[in-house]
Amino acid sequence: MKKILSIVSTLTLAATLVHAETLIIKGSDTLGAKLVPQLAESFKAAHPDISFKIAAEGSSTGFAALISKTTDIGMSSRRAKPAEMSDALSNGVNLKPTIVAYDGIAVIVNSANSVKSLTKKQVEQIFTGEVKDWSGVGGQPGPISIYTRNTASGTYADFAELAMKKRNYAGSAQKMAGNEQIASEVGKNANGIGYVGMAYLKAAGIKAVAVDGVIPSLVSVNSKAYAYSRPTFYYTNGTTAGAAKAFVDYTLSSTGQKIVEQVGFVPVK
Amino acid sequence: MRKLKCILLLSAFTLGSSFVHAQDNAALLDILVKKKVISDQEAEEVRADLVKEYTAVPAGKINISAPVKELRIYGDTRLRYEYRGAKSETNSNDSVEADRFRYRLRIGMDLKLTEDWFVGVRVETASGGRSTNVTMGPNGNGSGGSTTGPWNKSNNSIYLGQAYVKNSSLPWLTVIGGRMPNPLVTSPMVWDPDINPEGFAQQLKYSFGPFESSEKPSADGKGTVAASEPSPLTLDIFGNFGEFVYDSGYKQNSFGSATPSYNDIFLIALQSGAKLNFDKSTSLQVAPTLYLYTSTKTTDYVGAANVYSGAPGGNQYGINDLEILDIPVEFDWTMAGLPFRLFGEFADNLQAAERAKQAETVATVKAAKIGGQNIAWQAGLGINKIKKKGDWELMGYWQTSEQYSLDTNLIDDDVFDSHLNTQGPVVKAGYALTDAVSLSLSYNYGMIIDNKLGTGGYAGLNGATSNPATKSYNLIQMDLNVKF
Repeated sequence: MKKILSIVSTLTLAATLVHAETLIIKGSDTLGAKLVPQLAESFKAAHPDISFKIAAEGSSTGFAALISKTTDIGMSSRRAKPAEMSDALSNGVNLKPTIVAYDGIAVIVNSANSVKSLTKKQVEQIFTGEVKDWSGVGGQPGPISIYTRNTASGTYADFAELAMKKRNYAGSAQKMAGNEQIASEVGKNANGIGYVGMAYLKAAGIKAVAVDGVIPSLVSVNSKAYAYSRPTFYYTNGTTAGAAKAFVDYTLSSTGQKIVEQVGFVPVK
Repeated sequence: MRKLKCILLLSAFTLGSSFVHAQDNAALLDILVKKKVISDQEAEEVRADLVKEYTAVPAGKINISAPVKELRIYGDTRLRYEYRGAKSETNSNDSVEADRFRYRLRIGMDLKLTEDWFVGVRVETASGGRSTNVTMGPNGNGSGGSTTGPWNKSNNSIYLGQAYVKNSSLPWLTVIGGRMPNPLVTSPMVWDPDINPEGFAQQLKYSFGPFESSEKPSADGKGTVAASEPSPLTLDIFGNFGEFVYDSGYKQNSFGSATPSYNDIFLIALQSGAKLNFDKSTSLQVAPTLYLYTSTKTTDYVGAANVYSGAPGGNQYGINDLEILDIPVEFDWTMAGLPFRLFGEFADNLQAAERAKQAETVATVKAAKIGGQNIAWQAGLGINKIKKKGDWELMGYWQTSEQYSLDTNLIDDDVFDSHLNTQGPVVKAGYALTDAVSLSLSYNYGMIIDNKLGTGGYAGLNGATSNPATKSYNLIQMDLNVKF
């Protein structure tokens, strides 16, 4: 009898171990630094058998991981590039986008900066290096210090497309690993300017400037009145199943979308 | 959704097959989302599917950098049979002959960039400035055989034929720099068409017309109407200016030297012209040009051969004492449904007497006729033009190029074997087998004008020196041209 009980308990443990699933999520820092970890925490409360591995090192890394089949979900703040689509197809991966939240790329300056509003043209001129001094855009004289994301970032590419007509960034621009680093540097530098997702606007020492008179907000992003509005995505290999599907569905659920709003993004529903 | 995707894909391919359309269709999708025909999510799925399907076709794999607005790739390949011959002045039974089977390849790329910038690049076979031909079966040793085995690739290198930057921010001004297609209105009498000069150029153009007619009171007397149809007459005024770096004098000075050893030599071209368009097919163009050379007194082009380098039959290719006034003229019209072209050119080296005097300083040619020899001219007629399959063209002209009239380093080496002091007929015929493939045949026969003088020129059958006096040149070329 003891032997039977021992076998049964071993099988039960084994079954539990087999059932425990790790969901791997890689990609965008915009989504992965704050929003997705909070969604994961909330999700785990209802699904204690599922654990998470989240790596937020830029949208490009999410696509690379999906293509090499080393992640379940790729987070991205930009659309997949044609080359990524092509790579994925040749590796038997069907990149499927799901919009999980909207975001506005906020142009931020130091809170001591007198500039409150910029035109789209001025933003382009600043980030391409055509205007190098704040006096050129109506501010107090001082050399402009530009902070951008690094090239693995979806926001880096999105901003170049939305705000700079795909032109090159100024050679003097300093590339940062994440939104928080940009916010931190701009908060410390009175002549600094950068861009972050709306979820990072609460950082100390920074403020968002209006672009063509519009401040990034839930309303202006939702109505697409803000010039640098964009969708953010989960990319999966085709239609998902299991834990990945459950997590995507959870993100789109009313509970998930509430978290989206709490973190500072604009919900899709 | 499937229907929508099909419509978008179809529109992408019908609208010029631009992969931008297929990649994105952003504007159309945005409108559909805005009108709530589809949701954002549905638009994203369609967008992703379109990109996936397009990246599966070859054009979808091309990635062109953002500043490029338009990319054009073009080129041509030519197969040629050529015969060149020259008869000796002193021995009627003596001649030099050369026949060759040749080919050439040229591949170019035009890049229209944002804000009126333009980059042109062309690679081509052959290293010479005046030729893009490669001779089949390298015959460098002149014995009819190759010392490095059959079909070795030593003469098949690809060279950069053109690499230039152009800006036309102002509608009436284009500025060019680099190694460029010839920006001047000219002809093979003065410039070999294969030459792509290096340096800088500016092109100005301003157009007048069509001119409105006067007005007359309208029939009801309440206003005015045009008295007649607007005149089709238009006038283009243009100026082309070139500052071509003919020979870079690096270094201009050196340690231990009291005076500069070398100077940069520039060829300055000043061209102003006008084209009067009587209607769409009838026009008259005149483009007087002055060519000036700088610093030729202190140094000479390619060595020191500014005067004769041999016996009376010897050649010269120096650029001392050249100040050439050149006037190309062309009249175009249509008759019996065919385009006709009457053309001519007149060139006068205003320093020819000095150039002749320099030549006279060589003792061996003191007996030569000095003076005159300053004029070059051509006059001819062209009928029809090859544009598409089945088209033909004919052209013939007479050319006279006196010994001191032109820069012999620039003249076309396919006419009179690139020599001056020659005159004779040039004829050419062509026929298009397809829109891209054509055949052409050309022949020219050059007779020496003054047999006491040399024939100028560095290249050609006789080379620079040690050639016997020549009586005449023959040149036949048969080409198969393929454009792509």
